[in-house]
Amino acid sequence: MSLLRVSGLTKEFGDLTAVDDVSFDIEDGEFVSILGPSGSGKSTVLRMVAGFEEPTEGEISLDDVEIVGSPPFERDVNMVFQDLALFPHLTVAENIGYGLKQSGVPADERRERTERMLEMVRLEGYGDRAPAELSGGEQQRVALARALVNEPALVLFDEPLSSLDRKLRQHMQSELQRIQLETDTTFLYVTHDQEVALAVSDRLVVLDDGEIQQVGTVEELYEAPASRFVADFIGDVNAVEGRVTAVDDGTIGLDVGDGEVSVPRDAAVEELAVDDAVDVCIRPFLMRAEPAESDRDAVDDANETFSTTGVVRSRSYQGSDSLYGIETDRWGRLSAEVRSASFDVDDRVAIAWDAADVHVYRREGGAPPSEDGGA
Amino acid sequence: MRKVTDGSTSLNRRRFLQGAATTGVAAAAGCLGGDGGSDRVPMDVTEWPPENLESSLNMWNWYDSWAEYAIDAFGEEFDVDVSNSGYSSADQWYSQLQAGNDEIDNIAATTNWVERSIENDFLHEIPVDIMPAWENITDRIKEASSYQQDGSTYAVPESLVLYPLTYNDEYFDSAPDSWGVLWDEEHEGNLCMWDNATVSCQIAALYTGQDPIQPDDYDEIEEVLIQQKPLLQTYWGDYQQGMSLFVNEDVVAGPLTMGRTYSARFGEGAPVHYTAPQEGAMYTSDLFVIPKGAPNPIASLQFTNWASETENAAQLFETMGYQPAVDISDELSEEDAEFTNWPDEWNLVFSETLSDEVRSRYDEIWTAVKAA
Amino acid sequence: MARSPRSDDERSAESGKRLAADGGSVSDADGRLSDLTSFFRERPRLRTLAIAGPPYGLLVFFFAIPLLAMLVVSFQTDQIGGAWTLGNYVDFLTSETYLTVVWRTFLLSVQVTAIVAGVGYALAYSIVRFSRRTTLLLLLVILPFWTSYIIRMYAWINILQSDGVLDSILNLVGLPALSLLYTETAVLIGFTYVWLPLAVLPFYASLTNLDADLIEASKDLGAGPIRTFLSVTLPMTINGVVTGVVLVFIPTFGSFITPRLLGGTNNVMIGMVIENQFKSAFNWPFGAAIGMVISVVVVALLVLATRLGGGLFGTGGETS
Repeated sequence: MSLLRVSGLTKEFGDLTAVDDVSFDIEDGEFVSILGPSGSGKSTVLRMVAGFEEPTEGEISLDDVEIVGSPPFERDVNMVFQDLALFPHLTVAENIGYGLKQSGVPADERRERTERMLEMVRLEGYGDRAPAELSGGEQQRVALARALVNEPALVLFDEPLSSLDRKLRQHMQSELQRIQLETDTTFLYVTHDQEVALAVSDRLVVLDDGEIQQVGTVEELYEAPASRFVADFIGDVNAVEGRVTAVDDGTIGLDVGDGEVSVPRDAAVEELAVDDAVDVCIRPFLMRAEPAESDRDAVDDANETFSTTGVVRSRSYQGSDSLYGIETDRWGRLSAEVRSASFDVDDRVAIAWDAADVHVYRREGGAPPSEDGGA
Repeated sequence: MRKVTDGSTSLNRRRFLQGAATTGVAAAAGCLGGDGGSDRVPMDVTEWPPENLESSLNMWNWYDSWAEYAIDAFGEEFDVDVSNSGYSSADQWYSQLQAGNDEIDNIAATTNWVERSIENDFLHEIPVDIMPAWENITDRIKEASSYQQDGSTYAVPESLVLYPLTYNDEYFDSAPDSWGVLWDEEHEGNLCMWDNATVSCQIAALYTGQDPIQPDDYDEIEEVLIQQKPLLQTYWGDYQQGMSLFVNEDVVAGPLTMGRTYSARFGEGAPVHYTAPQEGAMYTSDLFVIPKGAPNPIASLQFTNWASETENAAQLFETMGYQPAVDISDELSEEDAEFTNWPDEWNLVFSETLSDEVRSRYDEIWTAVKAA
Repeated sequence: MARSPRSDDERSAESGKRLAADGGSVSDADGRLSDLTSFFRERPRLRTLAIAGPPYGLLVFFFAIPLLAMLVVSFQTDQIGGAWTLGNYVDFLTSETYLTVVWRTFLLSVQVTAIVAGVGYALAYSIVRFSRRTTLLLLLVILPFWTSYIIRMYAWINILQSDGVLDSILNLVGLPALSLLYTETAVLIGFTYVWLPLAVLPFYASLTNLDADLIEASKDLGAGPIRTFLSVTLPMTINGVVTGVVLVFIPTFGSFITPRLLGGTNNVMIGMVIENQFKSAFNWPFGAAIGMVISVVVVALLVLATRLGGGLFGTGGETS
């Protein structure tokens, strides 16, 4: 049985539908992230789980018990707030012990459990300080300890790491994972930062405009994004415009300007028809690039390969690989991730990728299939 | 430090000091009042009417409505430009006299402050013998007030101020004849007292048969006042409030001023009248004085005489309901004449200046009564 | 080091000259002004004096001098030029009557402060949390201040007196009349009404600064509304509460008009006694002595209360 089950969750603020029919489950012990751009409704989902907002429609059950309608202080859920919301008038230890005090835990036990929490988050000896005396990272740990000390079934995170610098954020990410394993607690983490989400989560819920775009493991989302939005949002992606020319059992024929390419049928997650306008998406790291001697020299315009030539316009160093921005002759600007020091700006290159690596999505707002069926 | 956080004090403070005004503000001020103004003094006038009046007159008179009448009427008759400063507390003008007056020509002052001003030589002597209107002043007031020293006269009485018992004349068949009505359990909850230490203690002194100026049994005064408390609706502290108590018929008997009783009866149509109980009622007077340093002493002298002419004195009653020092019964309607008539058998006690000791004992008693 | 500010100055001086070309004598004044600025810039102490001097001067002139004058008078036998004496203080402090009045005043002030604080906090809280028309509501709260205190008290006389507005309304709905005027209840109502804005404004200010996340965090951690209020909301806004309480307690302790107009025969307050010494008993030295003692007592009480409050609630609000 799932620990948390959200089904048909909808929240309307006046005319605005912030969350639209959202459903997902979380298993016990999982680390799940809700990922989405700002305004996608992800925080609203979290606040409904915590009990700060009442859903307009839908159900939320925790441990198989319906919790919609019960106040936040009765839910076996604790939250780490975006701005941490540490109580400035209390010491670190008092902050951590706050929840225990509310549930009537005796002072001795409270002290002991608070102490254990301080150890867990590696803040031994910080108990008597005021939160304001701590660094940003230390405050994060206090907030985490405060949410964990009650041993809740589920801990919610509302983008608490977003204010930290990159290095500290990465450190805290691994700390989060460590602590999650140590405490064997279920985490639901909300963020707009795909890097964080990919790094820490077992599974992701991608949300856009109040609707779920895809739910799945990090690998599933990265390798088989269910929509152009997911593809874009999770990792970088190149898109080439095309038009469907043929659909048969195993392949889809695509007109991508200056030539036709056929791609495997499963490159498209949705049913496509002839004449559909589509985006053909390819991850930069799946692209090949080599110096071009002359126009079309190295282009192997085989049926199952995309290829073009172009000029390097920019490069961005990323360690062993670099991301090259290439102005291509066929498809405009694309980026390719290849070994560093391969090219200089203004070099002519030939690039190619396999049809088996692309994903094809019907283009939003693309031309509708022509009525007289020209094909 | 006084915390003056209550904002302004009262709507009508004009006569706040009356009845309780005694020494304590400034005694040893010395004789600073110089003759900064005109070279002429009122005693230079030997024949009436005085000639060569100055062209303006600055008076300090707290009978506001009457002063408005006087500004027009006197100003027109004598072609004098009259101005008035209404004041609420006598120390406002007294401190000016202490500092050396060069502005005020004529003051309507209470007896106690007149006495003090005479002692400090702040006032011009007034040639009352040649003033025609002097004869209009009633004998009662002439005899009672102290405004003369060593055969010289320094003031002319303006009004009689009575501290009567005001009562509801529909509730009572006839005027209550004793202050005891304020201690009568039959009227429980329908009585009031004035939140004024001197007035209240003097009523209690009269009620217990003591001399209100020099009582011999303070404990008895305190005792009866405490005994009276449960019978009272409240102690009123503001004239308007005192009047409202009678107008709204929240109370049927209690101390109020004659002017307020008049306003309640004829202005608000309330069934009220006033009386002097057999134990006696306190009264005092307000008087016109001409302070030394007055820039227009001769106009001020003429004004003092004019104000005591029957017709003009009657206006004090017509506008404000106070009893002028002049017999005005011929000027009044039958109704008003009846209202102003103080029967000869009334036992009126002149409110002499209290000694410091009596005043402070009264004050202590009153605080103790309120705190009891 | 001061390179860039200097060049700014030069630029403004230039523009000043350009203006001067049109405006004639402006350049002289401008020059003198900049001379003056640099004169003060080079003398930091003098500058501090020039900036801090006027407000301190005002304080001394309007507060310290009158207070000192009263202090002097309180040790004299008469208002002007009397002999020195401790008698005024001895009379006051050994009189059971006056001390009773002080005690009663204290009790009443505590009641008034408690009621105003409670009502004011609820009002401020609902304005902050449940309303979008905060400006309008605050304006309504302050509006009565535009009317004279005494007029407002007379309005309450009209409302509370027997057969007044309140009784008429009660009568309409079939309830018995209360005739509240001239009772302690009337005094409490009057005080609550006049001091409410004084408390609501600081309460409002501190509540607006309160981070709503803290309330949610508390609820999230298992605290119900009441415990959240006591352990987060109140401690976090304690500075505003103390300010409001001080603003209400002090004027109540010194009041004399409200109890006189609305109170009955038992509602004597020390402010009335002091007023009486000045206005009808003509015993300024005694009035001054009472005033001095009361001031000291009130200040001591407030310092004590603030300390206690601070101790109970920690350093509430400072870090928010």
